[in-house]
Amino acid sequence: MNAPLASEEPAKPKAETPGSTVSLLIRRVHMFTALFLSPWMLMYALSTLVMTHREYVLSFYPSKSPAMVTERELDYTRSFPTNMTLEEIGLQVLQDLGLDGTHSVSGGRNGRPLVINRQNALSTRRVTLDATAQKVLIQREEFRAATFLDRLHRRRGYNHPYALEDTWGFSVDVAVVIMVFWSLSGVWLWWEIKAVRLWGSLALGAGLGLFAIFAALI
Amino acid sequence: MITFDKINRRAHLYLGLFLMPWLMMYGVSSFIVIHQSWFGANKVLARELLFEKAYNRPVNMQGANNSPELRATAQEILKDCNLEGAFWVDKPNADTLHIDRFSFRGSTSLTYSIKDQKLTAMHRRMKLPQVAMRMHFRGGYGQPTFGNKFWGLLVDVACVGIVIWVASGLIMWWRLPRMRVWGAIAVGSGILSFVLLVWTL
Repeated sequence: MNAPLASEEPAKPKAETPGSTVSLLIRRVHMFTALFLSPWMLMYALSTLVMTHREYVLSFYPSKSPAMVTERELDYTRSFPTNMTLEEIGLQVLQDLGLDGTHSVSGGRNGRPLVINRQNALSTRRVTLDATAQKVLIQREEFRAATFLDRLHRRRGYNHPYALEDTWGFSVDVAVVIMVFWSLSGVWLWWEIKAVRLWGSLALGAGLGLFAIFAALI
Repeated sequence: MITFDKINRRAHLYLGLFLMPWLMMYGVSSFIVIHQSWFGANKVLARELLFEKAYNRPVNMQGANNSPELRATAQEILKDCNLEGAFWVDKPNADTLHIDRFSFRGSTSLTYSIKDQKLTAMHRRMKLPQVAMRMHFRGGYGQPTFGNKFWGLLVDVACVGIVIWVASGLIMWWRLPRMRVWGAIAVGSGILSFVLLVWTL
């Protein structure tokens, strides 16, 4: 059962040639990169299914958006100079709370509280600064698998001044470049196995044909 | 007799070949989405006038943007213009209906002024990077016509296909005893990197 299938492997050359070395290298890179990046691929596949079947997925939850649960409410007495931007204030608040990281800021004008959305892959936090009452409210979004997958899918990285954000962006870049490599190397590896050329041609031809038709028509 | 190993390998191979254009498209388009400015994908081409004509159709403007009521009206307008297909509809103001009839290669913007009883159509072509992005974002079954729904099905098949590739790939690796140690390192480091990133991100 564990023996390799002879018909699945390309014909072994008697002596190692540059071609066979390249072929082996492609085979190994194809396999090891796929093994390493399998969590990213699973995440993208499952999150796409969640996105395309949003209504159905949401029917399993009691509300459209996850509930916000209060974590802490603190006194916050720091005052800010009037020439400070809302972004700078938001950053300072997060640093004071030990929550520095990727975030966006809204509100904070015309007496409205400043709302800082501190992004997090697992569950986003909302920090509300009420400068008049000198209070800070920290709320955490209830964890939802569907929201988590959706958020990860949309996270691209590079847009915020945090190394972690860039690391994620780089990992996504690697994953998408490798996807192109898998496509091309997959065709190469298939062509080397003579026994499956006919059916493989049919599968590839059907895929390319369908794709081309849809690209042109819709 | 066909063994499980052989079925697994064949499934990995043929599914891969069939879905290769989608995998390629998602790879290329994701890179463009992330680095839009590198490809000029954030710069749009100018719209060209297709037609401007007198037009009169009673419109139910009660629904919200892209609501079923508004979509039903928009679909009738598109039918009148022989432009049926995927679209979004919104109300820029109380007496104007705007329809974005989109495809991978372009988008036709129809503006119906109820007050002036005038229908204007402008077309915008998409640049190649934008075509790739449009393919990337298109999925689901919410748009009319068989073609749009079939594309939605193909996107679902591609997603299920990726899950099958991962599962069948893991089985194929495990069946190669010489590769188990290095493979385990690759799988383990991949899972660890992913979990660490997600945990701290």
